[in-house]
Amino acid sequence: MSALCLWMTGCVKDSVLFVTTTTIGIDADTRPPNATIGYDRYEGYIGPTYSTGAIPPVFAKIESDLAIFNPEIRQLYATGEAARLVTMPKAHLPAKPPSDGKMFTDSGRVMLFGTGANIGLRVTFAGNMPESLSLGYKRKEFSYIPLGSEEDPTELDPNDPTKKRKVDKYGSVLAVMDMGVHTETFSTTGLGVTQFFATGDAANNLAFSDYIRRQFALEAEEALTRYKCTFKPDEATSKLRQAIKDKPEFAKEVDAAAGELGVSRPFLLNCDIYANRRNDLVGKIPQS
Amino acid sequence: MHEEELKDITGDQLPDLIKDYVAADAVKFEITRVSDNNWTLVATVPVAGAVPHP
Repeated sequence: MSALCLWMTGCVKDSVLFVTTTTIGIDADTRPPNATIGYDRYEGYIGPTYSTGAIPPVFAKIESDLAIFNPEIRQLYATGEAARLVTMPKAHLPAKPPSDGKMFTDSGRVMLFGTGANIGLRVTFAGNMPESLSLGYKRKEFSYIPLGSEEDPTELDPNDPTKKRKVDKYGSVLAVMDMGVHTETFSTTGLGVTQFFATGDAANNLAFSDYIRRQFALEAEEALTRYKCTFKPDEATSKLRQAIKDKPEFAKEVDAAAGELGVSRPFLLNCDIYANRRNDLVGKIPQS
Repeated sequence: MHEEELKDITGDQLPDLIKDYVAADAVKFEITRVSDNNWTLVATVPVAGAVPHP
């Protein structure tokens, strides 16, 4: 990739290169010799920066439980307007998805956008010998997009005030990988993969959709915090349950303790990590 | 709202736990069978402690 980046640096003023690569599991290659076990991710970006401080927008996000077998992974990759849309607070979204502009004949230039994903086991051979091995999840996302240009309706050209000033425009691409164990119902439980790949206005439309915004919890207020622990009820759990049953007013004290921890009563009563808190509450059980 | 995930639940403990979460106003459940007698439950509950039904 570094050779490609060096090659691109020559034309960095009018194009943007954005690359991510992710490995979860075991990845080994003989050329060049390297091996990775666990989580490995690179994100790279080469593009222009403007006199105003502006930088062409890109966005990449990964969520994973990092399990080597049956991993749950959500990955989002977006550039241009699509990157703006997926990161924009819902209240600021326009009424309809914006367009990347018209595709005037003879004004086209070559762009590159690609993704590659490998799930499970992949072995390549050189002769009879394995050359590379990948076990788990491996994904690469790559785009090289020349910048376009459009008139800014709010600014006059300082060199020719009869014309509007031109501004660079970064095209939209969007790639989504959503993979994991789905457990909505017993009949639909299983490993599923959803994958999107879109460019231009199609990418903007997808970035605008509620599905993408919900799935990736792109807004802080939409994100649910998850508290995790091991189910390990103990003797204190039994005593507290009995006390709540015998003296319903004691439930208020248990709920207040759960509220202080920011969790529910069942979580406080059954989590291994709250054993000490439960023992404190046992000492407060009213004696009749 | 937030999510609470409990791991290593045995099958016989699961129904009572679900009842507790229903009483705690949980709005959503995800139940995963990890192995023969090992379940994981994720409940979405109101923030800052649940208010149990009377």
